[in-house]
Amino acid sequence: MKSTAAPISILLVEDDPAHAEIVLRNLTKLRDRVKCIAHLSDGQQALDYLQREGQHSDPESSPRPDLVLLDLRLPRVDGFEVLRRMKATEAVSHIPVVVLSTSEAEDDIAAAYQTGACSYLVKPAEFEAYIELIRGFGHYWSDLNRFHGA
Amino acid sequence: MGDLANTVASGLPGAGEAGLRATLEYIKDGVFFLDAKGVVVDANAAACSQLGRARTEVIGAGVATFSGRAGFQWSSVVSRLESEPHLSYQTTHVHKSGTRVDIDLTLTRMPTQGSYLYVGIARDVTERARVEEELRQSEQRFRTLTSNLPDLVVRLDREQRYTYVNPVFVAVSGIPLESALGKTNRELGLLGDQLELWSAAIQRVFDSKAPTRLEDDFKRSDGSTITWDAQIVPERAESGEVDSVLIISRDVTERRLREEELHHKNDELTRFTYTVSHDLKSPLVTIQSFLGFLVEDAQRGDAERVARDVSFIKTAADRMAALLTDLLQLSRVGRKQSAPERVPLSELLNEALSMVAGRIAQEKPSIVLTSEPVSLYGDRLRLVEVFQNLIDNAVKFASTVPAPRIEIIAERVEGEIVIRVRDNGIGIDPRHQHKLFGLFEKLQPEIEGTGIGLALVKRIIDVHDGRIWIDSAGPGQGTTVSFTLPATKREES
Repeated sequence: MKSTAAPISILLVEDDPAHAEIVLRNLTKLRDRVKCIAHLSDGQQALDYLQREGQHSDPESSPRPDLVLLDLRLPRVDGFEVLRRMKATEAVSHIPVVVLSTSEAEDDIAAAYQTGACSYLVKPAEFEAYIELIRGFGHYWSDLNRFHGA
Repeated sequence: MGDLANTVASGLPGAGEAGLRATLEYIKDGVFFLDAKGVVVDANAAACSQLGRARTEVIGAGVATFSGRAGFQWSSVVSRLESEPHLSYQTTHVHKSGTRVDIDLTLTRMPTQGSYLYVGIARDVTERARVEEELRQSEQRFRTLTSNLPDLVVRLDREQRYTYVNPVFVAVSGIPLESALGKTNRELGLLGDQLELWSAAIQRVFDSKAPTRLEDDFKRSDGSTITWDAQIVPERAESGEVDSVLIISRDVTERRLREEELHHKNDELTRFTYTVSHDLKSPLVTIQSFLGFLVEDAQRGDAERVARDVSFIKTAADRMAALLTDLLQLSRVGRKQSAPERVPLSELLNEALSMVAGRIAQEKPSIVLTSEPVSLYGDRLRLVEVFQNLIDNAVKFASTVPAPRIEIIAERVEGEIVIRVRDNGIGIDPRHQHKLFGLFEKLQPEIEGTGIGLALVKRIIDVHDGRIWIDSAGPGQGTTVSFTLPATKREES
């Protein structure tokens, strides 16, 4: 069970190296609160990691994240599909997913929430948006811990 | 009143002479009394009216005077009445004005004072004949119309039996006219849900007396599908009841196909717009964000980070330029650029290979062509682009293996030319193969390019009425991109 004092572990799924660097630089500024445990650049790898398949079968090297930052347009398996399959897999369905997308289209935002996203960040997201996000998820985890009587 | 008429009147029991004569005047049918020579001895008002003559002009005239029939012989009437009690036939009388009056005539012979009195009862059927003629003409016009319509027209009675089918029905169903008439749809082989659907729709028209519309697919005798847009229309009898329905069906197969095509194109366009807006925005996001970092890093005097920020900005700007160039190229494919021509495959390949010479020199794959001498028919520049893209992809995909090999195979299969470009490279997971022709789809983020190449190739092949597909047994198993082009007559030789 997670303690609120420990940094929130994040899995970043983003294929664009520049966009990944943008997210990572923002997260670095929050290093006391968050820790990026893995950065994967396509949807299939993300699913393999989360479901511990293929090269990610070892739980030691592939710890489950507290939060997934997920780009929508990904090679091989797109973000929507990753989200759908995560929500259908019991072991990872509770992990909150924040969608990162260049799209501001209402359809996309609605579809992301409907598929199970907890939040939706339109790129380029300002640093403040990440702070808000992490604060929100800090509450999420502490509430979850209290619920489980930790 | 004449003597002979008096004789007749007095011979009838229970009727006074005056009463009977008055009765005759009220009768709507013309009543003539004739002697054995065919001379009119008396006639009622209706008879005179039919002839347009005064009673004085009628009495004493020979019956041949008003007969409209050429070669009329009273004597033949007389002789026939010797053997038959009545004689009934349709004939015409001539009105004083010269017009003809259609009549149903019944002649009877009655014995009187050693001779015979002949009574003719003439019913004016001009109106009925006119209506009948009009009906006949109307039916004729209906048949002329429905026989020449491109639409399928049939008529069904209340038992849903065919009472009319036009030539289109015969041609399309292959059921001859004589086999169709009097049959129901069930008897003509319509089955299951389709029979239900039609029977119910037809019955609904009989019951509601309102027309209805039905669109449905049928199998042609050659197995292909035909889509009918049918109007089922009630036909009312004089009583106001619907005693038949007319089904007028238009072949909308072509229209339906066009609609589906349009729908498909629309979806494609929506996806295209979505993809373009996303992918063009992506480098902009990079530029905006790194400009922010650049300012921070410059303020801190971190030269190394500044250089890195600038590098990201430059890469994004270059990518944006490449995307726009590729998009422009893609948008040009649909436009007619140059007239199609027949080009030997070897020429197309040589041009394409010279365009990717740089990459080939770098990766040094072995390139093998297995083909009979074939020529392709199409837009030369576009066909070169197809090979340029496919070979470029194959070289990139094969660059990861120690002995990269690219094979180009061309063969004729059932009126088409099938061309395959095969590599022994990284291969593609079958789960992801369907995405490959999408715009900006990159299955290997680490391999360079905008991800537009295969979308472009597919568009060119589509425009040339060909098909394209990808085979790969999976990662590490190599990839084969195959496409077809129709082998036109001009391709032969």
